[in-house]
Amino acid sequence: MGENTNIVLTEAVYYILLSLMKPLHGYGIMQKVSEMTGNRLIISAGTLYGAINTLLDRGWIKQPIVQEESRRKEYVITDEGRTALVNELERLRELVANGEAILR
Amino acid sequence: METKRYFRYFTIADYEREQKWLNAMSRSGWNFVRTNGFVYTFEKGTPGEYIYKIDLPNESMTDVEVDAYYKFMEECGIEVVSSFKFWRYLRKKSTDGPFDSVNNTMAQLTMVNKAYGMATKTLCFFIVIFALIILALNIALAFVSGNVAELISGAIYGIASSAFLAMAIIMIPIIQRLRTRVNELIDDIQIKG
Repeated sequence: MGENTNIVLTEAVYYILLSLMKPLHGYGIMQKVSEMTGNRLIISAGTLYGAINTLLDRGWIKQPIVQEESRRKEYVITDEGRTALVNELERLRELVANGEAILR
Repeated sequence: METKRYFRYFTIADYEREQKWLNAMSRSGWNFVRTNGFVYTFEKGTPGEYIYKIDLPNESMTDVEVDAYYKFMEECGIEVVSSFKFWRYLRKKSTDGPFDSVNNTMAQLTMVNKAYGMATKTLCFFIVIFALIILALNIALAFVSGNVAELISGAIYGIASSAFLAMAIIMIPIIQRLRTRVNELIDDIQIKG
């Protein structure tokens, strides 16, 4: 909880957190992100593996207590993760608002 | 199964070129299956069935973590076809899409940095070996004396220092190339999200 949830997220982390509103396993996250971005953003397995470990350490995602009967580990977002996403969304709104105000 | 063998050598700094070559071979219907660092074996297959990627596990990972990392890769539809030293040769069905977004600077930087770490470690390893040889020679000379002993130790010293010099001449430019690439990618990251 002491972890700062008010930091700029990478695009990969932003989409990984968004895709974890419902529990998913690693491969599921990759597919979900590709689907959400129309294949624009493809998260490599290496990036995803590193991001999952960092997010687990930070407590932004966790493994659901009730694991489905499958070999694959699943992950889901936590309250802190959600706060980080909300803060990021606010920052993105500011980016868009400033850009539109000046470029229009 | 029809196979083809090629003799090639790629330095630590040339893994991107090596990867391009493996993918070009795959497109022409030759699937890479293994290497010992010099001999590359390919099996005849459907052109373009697989895409290849060369990977290095993170230096800070323990053996157990490395296993977990590649097990995760397998769950993502990626197969570890071959390994040589720390290098892992990965492949996946091209119909499953690419490994990564094109021009993912962060991923490129991570990989170059790992290669840079490995090249530096290799050079340090040879420095330690060389120092140990010199130390052993000095200790031996403290106990044995005479012309023959001096002749033998002189020969060992000569061979060891030329080998070390050759190693340094090969490794230092490789390390410098990797370092330059790391810096270029860091510059890229300043403007790329």
